Amino acid sequence: MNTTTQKTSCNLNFDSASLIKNRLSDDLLSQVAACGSLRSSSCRSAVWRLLLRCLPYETADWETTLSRSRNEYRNLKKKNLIDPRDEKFSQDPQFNNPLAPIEHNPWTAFFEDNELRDIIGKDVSRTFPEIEFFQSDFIHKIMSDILLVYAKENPFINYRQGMHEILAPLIFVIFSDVEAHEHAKENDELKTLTLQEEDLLNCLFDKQFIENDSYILFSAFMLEVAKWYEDTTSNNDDEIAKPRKEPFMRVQDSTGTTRLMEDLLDVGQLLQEIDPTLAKHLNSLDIPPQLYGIRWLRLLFGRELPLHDLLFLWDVLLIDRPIGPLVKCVFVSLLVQIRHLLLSSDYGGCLQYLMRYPPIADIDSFVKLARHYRNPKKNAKPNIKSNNFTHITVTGQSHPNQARSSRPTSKPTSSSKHQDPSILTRLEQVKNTIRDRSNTVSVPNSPRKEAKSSDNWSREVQLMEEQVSCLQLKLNEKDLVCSQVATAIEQVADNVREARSVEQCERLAAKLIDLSKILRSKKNPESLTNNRNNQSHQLRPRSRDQISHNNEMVDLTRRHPKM
Amino acid sequence: MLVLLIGDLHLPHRAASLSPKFRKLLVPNKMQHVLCTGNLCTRETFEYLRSLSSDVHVVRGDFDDDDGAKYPDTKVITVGQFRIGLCHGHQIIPWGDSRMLELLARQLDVDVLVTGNTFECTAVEKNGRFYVDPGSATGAFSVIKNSPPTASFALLDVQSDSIVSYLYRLIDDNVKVDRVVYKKPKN
Repeated sequence: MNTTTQKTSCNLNFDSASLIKNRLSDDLLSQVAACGSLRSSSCRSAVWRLLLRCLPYETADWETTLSRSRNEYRNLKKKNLIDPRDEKFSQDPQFNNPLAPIEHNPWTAFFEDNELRDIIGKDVSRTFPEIEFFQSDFIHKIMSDILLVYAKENPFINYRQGMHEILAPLIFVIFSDVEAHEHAKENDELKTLTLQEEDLLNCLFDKQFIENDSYILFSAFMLEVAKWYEDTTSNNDDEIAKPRKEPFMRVQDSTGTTRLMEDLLDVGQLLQEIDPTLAKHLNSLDIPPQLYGIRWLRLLFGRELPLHDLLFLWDVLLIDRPIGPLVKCVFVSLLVQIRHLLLSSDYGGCLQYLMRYPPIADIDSFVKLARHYRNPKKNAKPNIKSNNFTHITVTGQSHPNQARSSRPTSKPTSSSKHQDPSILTRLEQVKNTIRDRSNTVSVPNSPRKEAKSSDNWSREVQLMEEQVSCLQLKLNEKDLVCSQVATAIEQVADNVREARSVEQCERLAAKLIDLSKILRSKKNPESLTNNRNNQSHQLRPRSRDQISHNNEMVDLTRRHPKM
Repeated sequence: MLVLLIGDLHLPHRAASLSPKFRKLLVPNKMQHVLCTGNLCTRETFEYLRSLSSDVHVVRGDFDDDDGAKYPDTKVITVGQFRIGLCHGHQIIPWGDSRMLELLARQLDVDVLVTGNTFECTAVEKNGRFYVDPGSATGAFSVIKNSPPTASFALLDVQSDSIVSYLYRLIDDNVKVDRVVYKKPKN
């Protein structure tokens, strides 16, 4: 594949080989990142490092840059992580012992760090508890060391809670790229490269230097995010910076004292411009962005999205640096996404939705929406459907709002009316009609029985919601598989054009059959469709069929209690 | 991991207070564990040790009866890879006899045995086990010694496969520190 096709078509693979083959530039990388092809690629960490200028675009300079920055971290670590048992210190027990109160005792510095080390250790052990990768001692050690070195190198920021959640995805990306590279080496997938190019990749994805590379990427990343971690209130010498506390003052009344608060004020204004109804609703409930948004900004939405979606969002953020404006747009689009939920909830319900953001089903259209707000002229507004699983949280537990007493019956259908009636909204309507009917059951035989049947209803509805979310997930999965197969088929088509001998054709035919097998194994009856668009068109009606079938099932059970 | 070994304070019967030099060294947030060989004699002394670390282990000395606290005769504490046995030592007859100490260490199946009652600060390795005696922290007088004893305590820096023990002695009102390293033998 050459650069021209790379630029025109967005669904091509962008892997570590294409890193070397292509002339790297901002344009190319932002195209690649924006269309989401980094999601299945094995060089996301390299692209991030390029975008954050940890690596030069000139591949020839990589080796020197890498060795220089890796050495730098090694020195920083030696300087900042003091081990009093080290040979380099005086071994005279009179001076080098844990309790000696004299100066220059290495133990004094060691004890000073201990407190910070404890705090970091506690946070690190709680990183992404639902993902097994972050539970190993190896990763914990790396993370603690990086955070400690960073805190000591940047004393004006120090360590603040939340940094570990920024670091974790970075380590994850670097680690998985290294793994992918090792795997590719084992399977001889790097044959197309010359020996020199392979050495370059070996140097780039070196297992030895995961910690060093993570630190470099982390400190570059923090340049973008650090402003939200600054704490000016601790600087007592500057009296003006101190927030003035007045009686009966609310969070949103204080003028921005830190940059975090200033940005959150901006977000509030942006929301006012984009969606005045929602802004008014939240204002009347006294829920300003300052209340829930601190975590959203500091973790860069780390708790609002599942990890794989988060990485894609960060891809998009990194191509639009400084990331501030786009982050604000993402913030607002998160709110707009769940506007129908927020508008129909009371104070507690709203807070629950904001504190535990319901997962987004289709991240692509969400990102498009955010980019539309960032630059309305350049990026078209996507067709937004109701896009969230309302009944679960990001960690997969059932959403606390489910347990809350039923929502106000006057559901604002206006919000969903002007939108495209997607599967989920349609279902929502069905669900509501069922609820209404269950409420108006005519003269029950006994109150006990009535309670039972409404109980049945809520269970049925919950079941239905679960089924729908499963279907949506499957759909997303299939979409991904289809797009990958489509790219493979395109590649084969290219090869067919170039093929000369019968043997080659034979081989390509075998490959095509393999691809069809992949499609078949996903239980697609239309397995031999060669086009991605075709595929997805044929998939959609099918899933609708299934849903209508589910509705029938619900109807059956509805009749049942009456009998 | 730092472990403080201290004992035979005999406050307030045989000594008025802990030396200010020692008090200056013993500050909170440094030691993770405190092991005391007994003869605290009062509740207040125990509270003082508690102020140094939240994890305090005490065994019964021969003068600990009257205070109401029921300390055990022996105790085994696991720190890192090491089993540390703790005993005051007045039960071991003859007092301070090395062969009887080895017997106790085998009985408790410990890597390190900490005993007191001799008023002599020592740390020796014998047959793959480590025997530490922190001595008397106040330098209280002893019935079995002719000269007045030296005030002393000990500190263990427990690492993955070795222990570095620091012995703190108060000689002529100056703190002298010695170091003895013990490596866990590979079976």
